[in-house]
Amino acid sequence: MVDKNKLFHVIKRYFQLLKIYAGMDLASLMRDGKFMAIVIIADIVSNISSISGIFLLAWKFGGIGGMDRFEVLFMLAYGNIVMGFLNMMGGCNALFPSRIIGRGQWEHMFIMPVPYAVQLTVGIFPFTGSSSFLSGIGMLWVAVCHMETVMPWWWPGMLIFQLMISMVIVVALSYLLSSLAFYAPVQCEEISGAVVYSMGRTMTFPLTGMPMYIRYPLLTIFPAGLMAWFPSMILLGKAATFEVIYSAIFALMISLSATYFFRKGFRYYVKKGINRYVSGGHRS
Amino acid sequence: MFQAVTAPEDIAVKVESVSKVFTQWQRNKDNSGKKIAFGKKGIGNFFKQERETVSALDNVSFQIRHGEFVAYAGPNGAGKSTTMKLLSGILQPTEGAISVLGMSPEKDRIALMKKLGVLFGNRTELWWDHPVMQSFEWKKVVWDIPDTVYKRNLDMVTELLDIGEIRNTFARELSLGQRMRADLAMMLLHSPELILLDEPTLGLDVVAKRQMIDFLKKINQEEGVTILVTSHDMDDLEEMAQRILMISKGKLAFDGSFDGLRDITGNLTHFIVTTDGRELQLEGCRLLSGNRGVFEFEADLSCLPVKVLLERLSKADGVLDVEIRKAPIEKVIAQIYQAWAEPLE
Repeated sequence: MVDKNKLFHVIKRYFQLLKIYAGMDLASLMRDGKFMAIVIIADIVSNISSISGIFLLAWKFGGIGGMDRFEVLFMLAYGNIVMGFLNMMGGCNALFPSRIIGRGQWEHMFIMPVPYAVQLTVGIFPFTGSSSFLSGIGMLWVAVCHMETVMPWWWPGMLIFQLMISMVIVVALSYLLSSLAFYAPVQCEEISGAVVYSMGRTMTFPLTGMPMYIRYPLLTIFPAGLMAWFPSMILLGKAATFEVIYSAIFALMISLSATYFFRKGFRYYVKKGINRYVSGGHRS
Repeated sequence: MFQAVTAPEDIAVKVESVSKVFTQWQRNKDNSGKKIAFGKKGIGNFFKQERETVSALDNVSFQIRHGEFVAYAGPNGAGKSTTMKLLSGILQPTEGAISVLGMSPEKDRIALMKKLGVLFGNRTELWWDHPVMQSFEWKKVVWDIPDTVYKRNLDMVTELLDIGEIRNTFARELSLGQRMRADLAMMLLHSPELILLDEPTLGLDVVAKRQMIDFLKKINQEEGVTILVTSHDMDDLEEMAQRILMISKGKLAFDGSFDGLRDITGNLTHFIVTTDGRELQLEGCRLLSGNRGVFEFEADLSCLPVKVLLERLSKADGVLDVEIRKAPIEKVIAQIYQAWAEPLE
């Protein structure tokens, strides 16, 4: 039976940790007014420009692959929210565990009296890392206001559910491939960054009308399609009933695989890992 | 296999038959370690490189009691940092058992880290882009330190380590000595019962080193904190610690006092003789230096008893003063390292 007091204490500590990281992020941002303005403006410009190509094409041709202009905007906004939220919550390398391994930062984590899972999830950047998330919400609002589809009452709940599934898939894939870094820390240091960023770049392409040999790999082997296009089709009511649960099942499977392989790699690391003797070594 | 051990209450650290083995890749070497010339065999070795097993620790056992201040020394690559990482749970042993403060570093990591302080001289726990005080506040939350304990310890380290002026400075702007003091202060905020220090005086100037040594001695004597420290500076270690563990090629080579360590090298003694300007030669003693009537000699008191030495000095002409010193520990250690480095017959 779970001790309620203990559970309450853990939750309380979790929020205390979030608070201190948020405070440190705000302090960094507020250190210099000009720096703060440059960071915010650069992030907003970067976010808008990263999706403007696809949106301008959709605008010019009245939509892409069976999706109208605002449905394309909805998809782009969805992807921005996914990436924006993950960057905000995990920008402090929690989203990129291979960097933590490759740079030998686990050694700092070992000596903290906090579970690893908590340490990996509290590196929040709510201020410096929120522009993508906020611009995504703004774009989503614009898209929803202009779409002709009537949303049922449960739609907001489904939106949150699908967003969570997409985020779980990105994080799980990042952890799954990062487990390789336990065996080859230097070579795989940036593997999670490469995966997450390339997923972020690929997710902006609408896959409707694409041939199967392009669409299926992007929904299975390299699931960039599950970060924006596929859930958008579900939320826009353009997916078959059985497809609605596909992304949830995929998220579950990949999470289990990531958990298994990451734990296995971690055990190898603490048994064998030391900077001088592991092939490829650690830089620290 | 790794197994948890229980330690009596007065034992802070118990290391029992611990071994740690690593493997490393060898290019252009055969199984015996000989270099292979470039040729057919060399090309084959390039594509299929050999792996060599390295025994960082080999069946090492020792115990440290609560309140002890123990030095852990050995030449480069002897296994000092590996031991520190094993004790702090960063690595797990290949074989043997470890108990730290009655807990297993592997299984009781969270509980143990609340009572353990770890400081690696070549890396910082401070937040680089924040003032030192911000790192202290962060530590308070992460270690869940009660307000009263935090305030008491903060006041203590601020005063004893003289960090009042650097508390609001960004960590990246601190000098090495300031950074080490700030790191040490942060490590002590949660009142650790045991402190593991890996090269804490690395790169420090004379003043910073003095502050560090005085502070460590003080918290050991007054607060009863158990300390295990590694350093390459043997004079520092001798000044701080009561006991020295020496490790060589992964094996524990010596466990005892610094005087005991001197004994195994033959009880070397240095003495300085001042004369009225006359030259001086002493049978059984080695002249190290001589200038304007001041001569420094070295003698092995296990071969030349002190009584005989004093007799010879009293018979020498023109002797005005004699000052006998222990051989510098650096020299003793250098002799030991040299002996260890020589290939075994």
